Amino acid sequence: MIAGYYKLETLQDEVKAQNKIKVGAVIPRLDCTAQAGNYKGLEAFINPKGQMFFYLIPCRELVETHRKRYAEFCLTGGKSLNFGSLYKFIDCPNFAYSYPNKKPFIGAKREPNPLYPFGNDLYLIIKAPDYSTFELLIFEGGRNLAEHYLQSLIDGNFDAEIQNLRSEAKPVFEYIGLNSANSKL
Amino acid sequence: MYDTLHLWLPALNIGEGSFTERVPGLLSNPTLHTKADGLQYITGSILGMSASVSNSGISLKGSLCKSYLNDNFKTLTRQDTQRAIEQMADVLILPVQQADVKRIDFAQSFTVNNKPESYYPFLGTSRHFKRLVQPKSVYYQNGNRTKLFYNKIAEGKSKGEMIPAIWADKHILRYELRYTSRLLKQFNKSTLQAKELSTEPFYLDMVSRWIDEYKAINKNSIINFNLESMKQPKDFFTQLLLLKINEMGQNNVLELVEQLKAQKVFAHPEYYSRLKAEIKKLCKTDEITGSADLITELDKKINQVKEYCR
Repeated sequence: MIAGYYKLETLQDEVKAQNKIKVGAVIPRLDCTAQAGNYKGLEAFINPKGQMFFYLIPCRELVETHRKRYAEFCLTGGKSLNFGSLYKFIDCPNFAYSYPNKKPFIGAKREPNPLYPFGNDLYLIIKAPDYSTFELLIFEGGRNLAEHYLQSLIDGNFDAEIQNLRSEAKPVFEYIGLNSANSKL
Repeated sequence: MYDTLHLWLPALNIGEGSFTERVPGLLSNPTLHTKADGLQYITGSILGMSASVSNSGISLKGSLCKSYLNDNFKTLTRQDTQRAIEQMADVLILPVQQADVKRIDFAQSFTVNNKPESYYPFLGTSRHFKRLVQPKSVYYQNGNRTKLFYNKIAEGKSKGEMIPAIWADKHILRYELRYTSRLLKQFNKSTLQAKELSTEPFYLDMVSRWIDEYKAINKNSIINFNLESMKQPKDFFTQLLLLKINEMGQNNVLELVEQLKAQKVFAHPEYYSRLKAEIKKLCKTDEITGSADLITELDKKINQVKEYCR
């Protein structure tokens, strides 16, 4: 059922430095360090170097809506391509769902939205309490049943599938020093 | 969350004299009908909605959710509602956004812990609504609105529809609120057009109304034979009475009062409402009765829609 798996994490400062990523940036950056599945819908987030990364931004800075319905955070790719707001159930703060922008054109220049063909897909997210690690799970065509998929994830119905994907996952980009930094932990 | 809509686009809003010739060509299975007074109209379907075209305008009836998302298991979000209406307008080349709204069904399906049918006995009466129980559903009806709870999987299977894989081995309860007539009066508006359905204030108001109509249903309590709260002989009889009510079912006891009313058993009409109020009060007696876990679960799931509805 899960079409794609992506592990995002905040890289250690020494790994960032070795890979010429700004150290001490105010906006947290989450880099994709492992991926499984053949999902094509997130390729727009891969930069020319081959890295896939997202910025974690408080939603209030971007979204205009009723204050009670704010998602707390959203993820944004490079070139300000929006990944989506992270919606949660109140009592399950470490699980969230999100989905792509469904508009065919985006931005002031009305450029084609690379996520438009994948607009009905659903992203489920398992995050660490300190927001240092995110696991993205992709469900094709799941957007309009988002709460049902999220509840299933919380209930543990995807645990076996997630375990398989974790073991299959391969790096998207070979970050210099990542393996040695991880082995120190 | 919108499901079925009835829309009426008057000829005046269309502003195109030839629509009666052009639009029937877009319909599937167009059929010409002639009324007794000689007036003719053409019916057919488009994007899964049934359409009727006459000189006075165009009527569109059906599930907007099915029209846009192919089934109504999914939830039509606010922005999807706007897109669905735009899609209808684009295909018909008509200002469907300006159509008058004549009926709104607003619904959400929930994954619940138990069979949907096991929740119905705890859903009691609702003021100004007639409660009707079916094998797989419970309805509350009056002349203007209907609220209903039903087993969505059973309904889907009975229609031969493909149930979403994510619902395999799950219990799915759907709660639906239908505004069926006199919408302008109910919403206190002079006009209500399709374009307004997807505006944030109207959509959030619909969610609030949907939740409020759920809250307006009396929730039947669990009744326990509790020795600790039995202090005097009167308490024994109170608990005995509650046990009998429990055995009969709280909804059936209240229905019995309705039957007494129909038979004009009491001398004064106000006795029936007083008796019903006493029964309801008795069923809420502290220490002997308590909120059912099923209702606590349903309360939580319905209330949190306000937070995560999109």
